[in-house]
Amino acid sequence: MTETPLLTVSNLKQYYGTGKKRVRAVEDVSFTICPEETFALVGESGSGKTTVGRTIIRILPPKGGKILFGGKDISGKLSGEERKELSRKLQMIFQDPMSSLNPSEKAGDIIARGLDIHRLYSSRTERREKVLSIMKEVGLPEEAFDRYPSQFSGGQRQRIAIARALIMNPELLIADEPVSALDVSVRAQIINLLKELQRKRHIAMLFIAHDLALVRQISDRVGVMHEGKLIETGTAEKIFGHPSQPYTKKLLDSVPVLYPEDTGSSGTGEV
Amino acid sequence: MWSRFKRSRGAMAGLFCIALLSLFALIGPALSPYTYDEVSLSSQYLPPGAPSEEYPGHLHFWGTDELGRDLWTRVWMGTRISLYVALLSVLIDLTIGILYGVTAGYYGGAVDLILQRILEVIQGIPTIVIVTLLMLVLKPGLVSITVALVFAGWINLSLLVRAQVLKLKETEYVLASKTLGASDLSIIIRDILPNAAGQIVIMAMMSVPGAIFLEAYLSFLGLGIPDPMASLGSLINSGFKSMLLYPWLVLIPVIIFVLLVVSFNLAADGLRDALDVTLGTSEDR
Ligand SMILES: Nc1ncnc2c1ncn2[C@@H]1O[C@H](COP(=O)(O)OP(=O)(O)OP(=O)(O)O)[C@@H](O)[C@H]1O
Ligand SMILES: [Mg+2]
Repeated sequence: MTETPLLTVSNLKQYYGTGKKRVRAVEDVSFTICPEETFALVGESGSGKTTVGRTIIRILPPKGGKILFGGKDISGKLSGEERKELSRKLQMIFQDPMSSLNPSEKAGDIIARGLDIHRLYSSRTERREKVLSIMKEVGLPEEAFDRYPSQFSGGQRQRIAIARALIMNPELLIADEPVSALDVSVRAQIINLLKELQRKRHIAMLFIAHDLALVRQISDRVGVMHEGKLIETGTAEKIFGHPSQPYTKKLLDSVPVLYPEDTGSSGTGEV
Repeated sequence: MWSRFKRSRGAMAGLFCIALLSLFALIGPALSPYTYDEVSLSSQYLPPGAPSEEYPGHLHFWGTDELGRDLWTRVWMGTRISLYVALLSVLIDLTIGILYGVTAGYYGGAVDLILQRILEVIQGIPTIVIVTLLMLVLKPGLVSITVALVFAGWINLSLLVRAQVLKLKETEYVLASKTLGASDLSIIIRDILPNAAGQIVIMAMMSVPGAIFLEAYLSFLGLGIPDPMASLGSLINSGFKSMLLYPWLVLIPVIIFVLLVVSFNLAADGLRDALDVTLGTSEDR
């Protein structure tokens, strides 16, 4: 691709702990993501994928390297204003939709949180309408507005989390294993929903996953992580067809690669 | 939340009892012609239901004490004091305890370290020492009990709040709020406190009996409510001395005291269940 990248990460470093107990979770990771592109990060458990995602969205301050987002350096110390501005363009979906939703708030209020923070409405009615319209878009029924997270299925909870992120109209969405905590039967629905929303809203996506078959199905480019380092990046065809690194080959061989049919339906309800 | 609370019979009974006791504490003394400190040496140790000598046609519902003072009036005046102490301890828990705990837990690091050291120092001084020192500047009475509670009554709750905040601030829904640009205040108010509310309420409610006991203890040492004013604690203490001969002098204040304490516990339990939305999975479907 020849476009100017939306996100440029160069030599990103992240550690946990200090002194002897320091864990080098991410070391010198560099990659780019172009507008509307899906870039997947794959790698075994503990390879640092989540850490990369959380550092980019600045839940964790980077310990080294540079993050350019929309041409702006966001790797330094951010002021409250800069943080707020960033949150309008960069959003995240977490792995476990049970722990990422506040159990004491109603779904409608959880989804409206971004609107509340950025004061994006002038009346309660407008707030409700905005929430209901995004709920419809992610396939949640209107009655869901007044229910608590514990009253939903896993798939529906992830739809709430997606709605909460999308209500900000982000340019880049970080999805950290968005379906791995879900029942196998609803995974395809959530993936299709994400793809559809991405196409409709022209969002770029950093997709973190274990499931290589899934990655092959939805990503344009892939980065392979191993022990905190990004050892190979390339288009999905190249990584899956002609991996250049022995580790990538091993990773590909270790999973029975299935090519599930694209299940077509955009899935607005649970099976 | 209210609908959940209503569903719990124990909690409703507790709340009803607290309301009833409060009502009587308010109007009880006015229902009899006597004042709490009216001495009548001709009517000492009258049993419950005895007719009054000074006011023909009136009864001493609950008898009289060693100075001929009307027990009904004195018990309800004492209940007022206990309720005041209860209210005060809840208010102190909810303000100082939460503020201190949230600040220490949420900001952590050096702030937490300093706050915890200060707390240890306060905790190290026995309440009785504080109260005795207070006596040098204050007269025994409600003011000194209030100051004692303000000084040390909130420590347990602040420790609980701190622990809860430390745990909750690492949750993914707090991280999600951060990625949405939420301020610290908004995270504390919407994400952290509501999820700690159940624990906080129980703890605050459970500190009530302790505070009532503290008052009784101080009264016993002559550092609490001074005679002729009475609290439930001081009534039980003085009634205890003549328990075998005049059992009503201790039984009646004890019954009211127990009712009060049990009601607060029941209400605390009900409130916890009502606040704990995560428990109510299937009820509302
Ligand atoms: N909060 C933390 N404190 C200390 N070490 C951590 C923490 N979080 C992660 N680590 C360590 O950092 C490394 C990278 O973890 P990370 O969660 O980024 O991996 P991952 O690729 O997302 O794994 P998974 O596929 O299991 O989600 C691991 O060695 C992990 O043990
Ligand atoms: Mg992870």
